[in-house]
Amino acid sequence: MSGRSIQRTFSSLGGKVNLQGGGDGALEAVAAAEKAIRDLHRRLTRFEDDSELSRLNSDPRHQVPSSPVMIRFAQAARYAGELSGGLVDATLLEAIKKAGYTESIDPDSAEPAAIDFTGPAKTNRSPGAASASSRWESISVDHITNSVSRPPGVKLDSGGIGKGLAADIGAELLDHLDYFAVGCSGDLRFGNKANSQRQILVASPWRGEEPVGELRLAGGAVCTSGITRRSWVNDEGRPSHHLIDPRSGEPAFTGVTQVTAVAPTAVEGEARAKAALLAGPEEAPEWLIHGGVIVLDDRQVITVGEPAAMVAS
Amino acid sequence: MNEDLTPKELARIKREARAKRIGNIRRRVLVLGATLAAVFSGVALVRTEINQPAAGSATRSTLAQSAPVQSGDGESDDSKSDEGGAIGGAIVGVVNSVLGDSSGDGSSATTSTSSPAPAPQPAAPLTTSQS
Repeated sequence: MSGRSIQRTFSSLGGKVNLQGGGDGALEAVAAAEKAIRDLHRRLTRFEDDSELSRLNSDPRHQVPSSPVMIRFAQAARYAGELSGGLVDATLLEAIKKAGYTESIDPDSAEPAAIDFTGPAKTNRSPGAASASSRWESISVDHITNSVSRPPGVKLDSGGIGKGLAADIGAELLDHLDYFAVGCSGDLRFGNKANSQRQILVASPWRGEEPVGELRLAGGAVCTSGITRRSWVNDEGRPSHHLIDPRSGEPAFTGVTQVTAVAPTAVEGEARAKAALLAGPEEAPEWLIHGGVIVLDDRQVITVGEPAAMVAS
Repeated sequence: MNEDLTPKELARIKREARAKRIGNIRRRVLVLGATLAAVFSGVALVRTEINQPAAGSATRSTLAQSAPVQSGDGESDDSKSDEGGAIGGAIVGVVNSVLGDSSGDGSSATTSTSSPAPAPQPAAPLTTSQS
């Protein structure tokens, strides 16, 4: 056992992963968390043809033997769909590709497209809604045969749920330490034995601007979803991004630019943040039952709950 | 044996012997009292720290490590991590040491090792951004 305070940053999950751990065994625990997150990325990326996710998506069988990580992802995808009533749908891979998201985008290393949501409406804004087909309901796992089932042709996208799952798995490997923090391309899990609060800054959706919010929490998850950082201008010259309205199959412009959700786990936080964004300004606060921060297209910032009193765990 | 001593000399020797015994007793009582005061002050301090979450883990760790010193067999027992048992064991160990109890293995509670304080989490804030 060695290591008192360890910090490790590396590129993975389409962005930067930051691990922090303090206490006896921190070195080994952080190394184990990094290995697990790298393994998750390798298995769940859709940008590599030989990843387990790509092979699952092209497999003609209804039931496909899968790794424990893939089984957990399939469970998380199903959970997100159930929690959000279908607003968060991990089966929209073809729609995301159609929108133009065909290559990995690292928002930390590349300038996002200069999309201005603050001026007069450049797009029609309307709340998103669940798809009538609800293909996410077809996802199931079998723990006896260690397999994932879905109708052949239904393709999964790991996306934000995959990042949330990575943060949760990292936290499981670090939470015995005196303190820990896992940041997976913006999704956070953190905690400490002393139960002391930690300052959490909510980054602005617009590059180079000051944080739009500040939270103080002892532990849990804080996850952010938005439409400005993984965005681009499509062939028609219109802004496009990776958050798809399940009903229309098109990038969602609901009037909400970014949502940060507090939750006990990062998978739940991801689901709540994305559901709030897709639900639009009117219903967004209802999804943030543990608290959070909403940024609207007109730059209005809405804090849900008392930032200093939010308890995520 | 006392035939060569006068009654006065015999009385003086008895007085000196009694004074020496009383002196020894007083010294032991003082040492014991001071030790007990120190131990109970320590116990009070430990209990105060246990009630403070920030120091809770370090305190328990210290107590868990001090208990095997009293066991004499060098083995750690899960039950030794019990706060009351560990504190009680430490008190007994200190008292035995002061009184010169030969039944112990020569170790005393004061030789117990302390685990380092919990690593403080960084003051720098975490930042959440669009994933």
